[in-house]
Amino acid sequence: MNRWIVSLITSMSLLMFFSGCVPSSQSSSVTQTHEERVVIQKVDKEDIREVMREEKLLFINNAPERVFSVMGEGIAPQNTISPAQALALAKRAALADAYRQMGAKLYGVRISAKDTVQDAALKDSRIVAQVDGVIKNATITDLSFQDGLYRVNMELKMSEERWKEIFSY
Amino acid sequence: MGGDEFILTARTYTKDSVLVYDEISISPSMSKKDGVKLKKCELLADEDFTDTLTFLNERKNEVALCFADESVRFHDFEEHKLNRSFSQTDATLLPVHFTVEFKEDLATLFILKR
Repeated sequence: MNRWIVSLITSMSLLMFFSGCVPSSQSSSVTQTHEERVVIQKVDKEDIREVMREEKLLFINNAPERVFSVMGEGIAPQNTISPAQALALAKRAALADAYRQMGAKLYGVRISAKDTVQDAALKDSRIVAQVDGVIKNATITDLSFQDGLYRVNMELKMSEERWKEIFSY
Repeated sequence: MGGDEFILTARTYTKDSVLVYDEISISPSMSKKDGVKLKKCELLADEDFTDTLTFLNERKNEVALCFADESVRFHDFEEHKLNRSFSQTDATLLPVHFTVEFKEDLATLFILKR
């Protein structure tokens, strides 16, 4: 009988040892230490930028605004009645060209091309480039007229956030 | 004189960087536009003129340039065919409401925005 009881106790203790059972007081302390190790931290964009800056992971442009600059060119027409009229008309043409270039920078250019080959020789090649859009808040920074060519420098300032909001596609 | 509201529209059409069509229209506004008044530019008004509209029409190139930073809709088309090339640009200044105030020898242009 005693042998049976001794073997039962031995087997029970072995079972407890291999199953990892511990008294209730020890079990709670392990959970506490595990909980202490977990650190919950909220990470936002600024934190990520800070880490990137410290670790020199990549270049971050902190400029709050992006500036788009273009130079439009216009030619005076031949059939003008005076140099003043030629100047005024060339200026208008240069302005239109500046808007076109600005639009191409902001919206991009739609390109379509067609090549025709006949009897293994190029017969026809046609490339069409189109730009459509609306430009707002573009400022004229400089105007000049030289050798019959009118030049208009145009600038458009836009915050980076706004730029991403509108044109990130 | 001054204080009246006007509407400005402009259209420029160029072919191969040469202006072929240009129109700047200034007309009195039929309805008042409620909104904020923002100063755009000042024009010299030292010559005699009968009314504000005449004054603006005489200086319409300068007036149009004042509002060059407002919304401009454009369409550009370029075609390259073997050794030939052709381009045309159509730019339209969307209508802007503005008012003029005269003080001494200066005319101040204000844009009206909602």
